[in-house]
Amino acid sequence: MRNYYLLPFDFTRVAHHEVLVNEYGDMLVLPQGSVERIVDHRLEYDDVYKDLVANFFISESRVPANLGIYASRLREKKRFLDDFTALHIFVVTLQCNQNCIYCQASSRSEQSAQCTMTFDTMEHAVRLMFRSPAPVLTMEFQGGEPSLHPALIRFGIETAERINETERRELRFVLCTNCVHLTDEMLDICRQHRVMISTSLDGPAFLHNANRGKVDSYERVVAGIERARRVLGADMVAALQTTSVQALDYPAAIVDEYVRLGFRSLFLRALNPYGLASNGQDWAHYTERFIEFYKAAFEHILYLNRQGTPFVEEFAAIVLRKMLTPFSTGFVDLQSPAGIVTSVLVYNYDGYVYASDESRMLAEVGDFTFRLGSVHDRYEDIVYSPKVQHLAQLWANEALAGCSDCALRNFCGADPVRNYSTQRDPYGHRPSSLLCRKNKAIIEYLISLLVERREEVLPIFKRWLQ
Amino acid sequence: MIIEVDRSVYSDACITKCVYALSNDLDCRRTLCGERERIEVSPRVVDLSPAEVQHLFLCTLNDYKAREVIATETHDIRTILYAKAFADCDEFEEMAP
Amino acid sequence: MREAFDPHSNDNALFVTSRCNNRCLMCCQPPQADPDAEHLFAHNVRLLQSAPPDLPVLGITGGEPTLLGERLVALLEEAHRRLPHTAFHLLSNGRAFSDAAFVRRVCRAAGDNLFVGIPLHSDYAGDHDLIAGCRGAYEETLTGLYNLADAGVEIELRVVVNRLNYARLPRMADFIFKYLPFVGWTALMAMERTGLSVPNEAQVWAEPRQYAPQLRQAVLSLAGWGMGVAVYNVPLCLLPRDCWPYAKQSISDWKTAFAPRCEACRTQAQCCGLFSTSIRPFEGITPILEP
Repeated sequence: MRNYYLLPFDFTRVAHHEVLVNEYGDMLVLPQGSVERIVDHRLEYDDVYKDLVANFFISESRVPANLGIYASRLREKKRFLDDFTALHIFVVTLQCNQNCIYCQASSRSEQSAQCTMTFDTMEHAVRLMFRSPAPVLTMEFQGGEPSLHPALIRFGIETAERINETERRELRFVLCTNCVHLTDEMLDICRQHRVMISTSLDGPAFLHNANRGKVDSYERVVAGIERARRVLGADMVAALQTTSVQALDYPAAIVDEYVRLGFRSLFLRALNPYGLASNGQDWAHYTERFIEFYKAAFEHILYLNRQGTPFVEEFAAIVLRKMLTPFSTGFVDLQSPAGIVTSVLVYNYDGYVYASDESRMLAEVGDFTFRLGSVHDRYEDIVYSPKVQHLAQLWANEALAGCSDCALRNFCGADPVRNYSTQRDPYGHRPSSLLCRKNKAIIEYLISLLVERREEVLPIFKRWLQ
Repeated sequence: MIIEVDRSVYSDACITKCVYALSNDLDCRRTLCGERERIEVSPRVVDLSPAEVQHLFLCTLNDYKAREVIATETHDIRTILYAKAFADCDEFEEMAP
Repeated sequence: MREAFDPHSNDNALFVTSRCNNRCLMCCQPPQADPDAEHLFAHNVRLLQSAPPDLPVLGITGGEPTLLGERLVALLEEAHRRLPHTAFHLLSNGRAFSDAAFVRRVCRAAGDNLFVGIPLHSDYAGDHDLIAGCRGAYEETLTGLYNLADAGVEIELRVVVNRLNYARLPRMADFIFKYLPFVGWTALMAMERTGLSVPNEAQVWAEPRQYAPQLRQAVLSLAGWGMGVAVYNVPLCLLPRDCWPYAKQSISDWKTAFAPRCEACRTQAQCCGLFSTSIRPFEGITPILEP
């Protein structure tokens, strides 16, 4: 036995093993009883001991040699903070031409008045965006259905490009559209300015149409996707899936539909408890069923990969990147400090600035907790406001009860807005949080695959992360 | 059921974290009697036998005890590591005279 | 000692010192004191004057070249002045590069046209230091690697596979991806049966066919992450076939040999062959007859 010193790490148990995670998310899988032996300073001088030293779980000197390397890895994992807000969401309108049963954005009919952004608001919002120091700025147009207002979108993009003649940032544009009514004018804007299309497709026709409350939505979306691909290129069109209650029964069919339509990846996305979507749902029951749905769909995706069809599940890819690589991962829903403000700001049609997409959805039901200011306000008064300062105390899972001593916190994130909307408290209560329940279950599932089926899954995961 | 815990082994913070972590499954009522703490534990929703409740509680408590040992032993080095990682960044150097 | 450069050789190098501050257990060129360091320096400067200006790569080797300190900086300046288009391939244990200022001076002297080959013997400091024959070597080498990366120098990480480190090769591959993702490539190298590996045989010698499974795992693991990886000095007949794409003809042309039975082998033209300098070839050399 050798004399050694502990370094900070946490642990959990998965698949009859102890999973140790150090301060920057490196994971070591050891037999049961290992943690106790480590903590009691009873380790033998063997390969486990060497693994623990080499990966900074323990140290042979009080202050580890290569302290700078430890610090450098820790810093790299938080590098997403360096650039500050990169994603800027412009809620162009609430008007929509669909009527989705789980609508998360409180959409209104195409004829509704007073729910579309003015040109003046757009211009101020674009100017605010440029106050963010990020070298890459993404403008994402959302709704409602933003493609109902091509002139406004063109104005937004052209305003940004004009300002950028002196600002010299990298600009990216994303249009979130249901693809149902992509006019020539809209596609022309997309082609001219290299706008990526992010659309919504829930799976096979019967599912998609049932979720939309329309009979021909699926046909029109698929036709829209094909058209957009022809005009813009296949890699410029991505799709998002949302798992309605009915969809829970069709994990494989949904995956197969994405493969059939030529997509290379899928983000298996749970419903979220906003807007109309939360009416009359039993969220605890839904969450449990979603976890099972996720695993079934994921198994099917693994099967396809084994058969030689490269296909990525995006949520897992984000978690696995945190787990298996030394690189920083910026994904607004799964980071600490949370994505709100640090990574995303929302400029709403009403001329106000919100902390996140979810924040503006709360506003639609009359709750303005996360309204940070107006597009006419000074940038500093928005991002350094007392509201944001308060949020900043709740947005790091390193400092939240139930998260700070969770071994999975490196792979997860903090979400004060979700805590507030589901638990009426931005601090949140982890033991009863369904978001915590869902994330933990999925992350533990991914770890269990790495523990029990490493040879099979690791090569697939590596391909996903390249 | 009643679980008795030796406070010279398990600190107040350690028991608090355990009770918090299990608060969705167990109702816990804590009473301090000298060096020992009596914890009245009852399952909230899920049907758990007294043996299962005791096992769950003690395992969780021991995990928090291990975490406490790690946290205590690594407190200073953790501070140093975070300071080294995040305090000596370029902006600070630029601000130096 | 070399008297001139051969533009057709794959091994043009300046031998700058016999001294070393490591005592690697399997060193193929055991360190010695330099009887006449100034003479050696002058000789190298003279050699540079005869160097063909279109030489693509010039090696700088020893011993441990960084022990020259500022004289190495001066030699690199001279070399870069003579050969502005030549890349310099410096073989070093990397310890001196734990001084970031020295890294900057060396880079500037070489006109930023420098790549450095550095051995890493283990992911575990204790094993690295044991093999390097020097306590604290790991700490300095690792810091050196980070400093070189910060300076943008391309790094060739060299793992000489031996009895003391082959069991951890797969773990080392994980370690390299996580802690040294910036290296240009990792070379996994078989030992030469010459120098100190002969007297230290019992402690360090391992046959390629003994460590082939661990070697294979490490190669495929690094390749799976998209990391550059190469196998040096292992003849193809001793290397699992799925590692063949990573095998390089790594042995300097002047010391490449083949065994008599290699005549029948269909892969000889692609094979690295054997060290003519080894006192005995690897075990299990078998001609490959099927395509």
